[in-house]
Amino acid sequence: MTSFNRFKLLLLRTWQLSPRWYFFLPAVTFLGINTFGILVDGSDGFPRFQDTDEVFLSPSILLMLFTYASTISLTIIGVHLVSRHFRNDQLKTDSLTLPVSNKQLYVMLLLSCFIFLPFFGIISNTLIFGIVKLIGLYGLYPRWAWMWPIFSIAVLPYMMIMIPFIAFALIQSKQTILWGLGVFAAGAIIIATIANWNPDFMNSVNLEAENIGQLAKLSDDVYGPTLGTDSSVGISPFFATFSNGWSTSIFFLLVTTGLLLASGWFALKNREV
Amino acid sequence: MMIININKLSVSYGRGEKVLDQLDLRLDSGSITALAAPNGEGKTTLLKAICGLRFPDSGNVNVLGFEPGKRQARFLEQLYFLPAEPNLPAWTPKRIGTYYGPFYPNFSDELFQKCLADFSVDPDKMIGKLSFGQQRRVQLAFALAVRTELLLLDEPTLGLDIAGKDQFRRSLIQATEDGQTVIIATHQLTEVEPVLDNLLVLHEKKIHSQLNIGQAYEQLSFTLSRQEPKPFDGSYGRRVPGGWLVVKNDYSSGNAHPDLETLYLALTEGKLKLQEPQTTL
Amino acid sequence: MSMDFKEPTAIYQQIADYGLDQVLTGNWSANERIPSVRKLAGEVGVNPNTVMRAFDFLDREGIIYNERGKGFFVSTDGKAKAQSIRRQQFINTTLPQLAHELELLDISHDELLALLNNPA
Repeated sequence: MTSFNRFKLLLLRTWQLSPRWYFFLPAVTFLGINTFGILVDGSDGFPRFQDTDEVFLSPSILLMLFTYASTISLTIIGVHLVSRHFRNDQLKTDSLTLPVSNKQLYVMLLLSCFIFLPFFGIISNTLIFGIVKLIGLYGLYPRWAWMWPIFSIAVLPYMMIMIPFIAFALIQSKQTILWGLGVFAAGAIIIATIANWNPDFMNSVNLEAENIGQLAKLSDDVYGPTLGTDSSVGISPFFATFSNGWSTSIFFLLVTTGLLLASGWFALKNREV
Repeated sequence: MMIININKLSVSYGRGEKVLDQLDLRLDSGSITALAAPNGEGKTTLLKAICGLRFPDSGNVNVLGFEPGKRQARFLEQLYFLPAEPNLPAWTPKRIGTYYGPFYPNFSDELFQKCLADFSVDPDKMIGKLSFGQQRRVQLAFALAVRTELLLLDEPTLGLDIAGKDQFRRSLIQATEDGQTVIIATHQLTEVEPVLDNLLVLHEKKIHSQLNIGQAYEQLSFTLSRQEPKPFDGSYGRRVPGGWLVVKNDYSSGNAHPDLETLYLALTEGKLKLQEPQTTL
Repeated sequence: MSMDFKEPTAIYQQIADYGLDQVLTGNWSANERIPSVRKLAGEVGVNPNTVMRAFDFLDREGIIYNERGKGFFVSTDGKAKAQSIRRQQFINTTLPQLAHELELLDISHDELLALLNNPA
């Protein structure tokens, strides 16, 4: 059998192992997130606040939203993958006795998370852009703008909690739980180090000035301070650093991917039924 | 050729009691062996240890020259494990053959189609629309068609009707013409007895007996007695409607039909002892 | 005390019996090749070694013979030999069993003869 056929089979197997909602989840998540952004229409196509003329959904913010959506989707999918495919003896037996090396099996499972996700994400986002623009034509008031800071404080801890959770759920054997802990701790330390001790590094790779802190400020300007947020930088310097556009997005994606990769790999290597 | 070589295998679940304790097993290739054990005594666990789904707490497992726990693809393509309740995708049998088959180098689509036809299963009907027994037929047809060196079947006759059980025996013999090794874990010894070479009894966490059934029947006498037999060393009496079916290791011929289930009971419940057959290296 | 006269019939004996029957009824005729071990085993769903054992038995009794590489054939005097085995079985097993039954049921030999001539 040629390697192409084998790849085709693995892909099919991936498709077969994954419930269909995996692939629509990102779309739904995008829809949910972008619903918050149903605001106003700008002449350049990007939604803007009506009274300030500031671009509300700039490309960098969108990319960040995309990252958040991906993260949430990945987390949900990951947790589900764990509960469905790894806690279920029958499916485990089925996957693990298939003549596929650990590496191939692992790639296959990751494909479940990654392959269809950006695809559906992009399609749905394009769609939502259209919807936003359409609604924008009717000039809806930005009454949900204050949700952004909350969202920014919600996502990071969420990621921090959920990723190790997936890792731990994946890893059930005693030896590897330590490995999982190690990987998570290392990831957390790297994030904290870069973010708190060298925020300039984060800013230097930042391509655009837009950030959630500014949005929070805008929001505060319009509605007054909400939920005790610091109107100058958003929530805290730590989170503000993380709410920067491109760099943060890529960084988050890398960390998420890395943690999933690492925990999944250890889990598979040591998995029993 | 020795196909399975297990030394001092111990397996436990969590912190609980050991399921297998210092188990030794050597099995030659090219035979059909039944693996029998009282309920909950680790039949499936042993099968899982053999195919790399359970890792030993201690001891060595060598199957086909590989360490199963490493789950190398080259090892996995030489064996097929059919669990008691497998999870095949909701496809048509034909599609399962198309996509699962190529993972196994010796898979024969022709044989798969033949087995399906022999089992009277429509290869184009979605598996989800088939009855439990029909699904089992599909699973068995596929397990036989992969033609792996080693075939592990966990309760293969589960859910099969009488015609299905008959066909299973025929298909198993027809599909293993190249001398594959088959291990059938089952409680239904009578159902599989005609196809067997060997009996493997797992009891008290070890391989309690390993015997060639033909040889064992030459040593043993099965006698229907109208009176309760006096217990003496090595004999076992099973209460049957006609009296007691007594198994003795006395090289004589009894008056009753040799019966694998009674032999199994004599080995596990009674104290019947048989010399283990010499394994050839 | 054992009172049952049921013949022990291991699977290989059943197959040997089947072979005897085929030869006696002429289904397998002299010097004709009989089904291969594999084929018969697959057909019946029995371990090939068991079928081989049955064929070995028939071979030893001179009912069939093995031609290397070709398979088993019915001996020229296979039918006569099969008959003599069956006769022996009848005399050794079936008759004493019948005699025992006749005694238990109090059927005289004359009565038996009459019944054999005019079956009910």
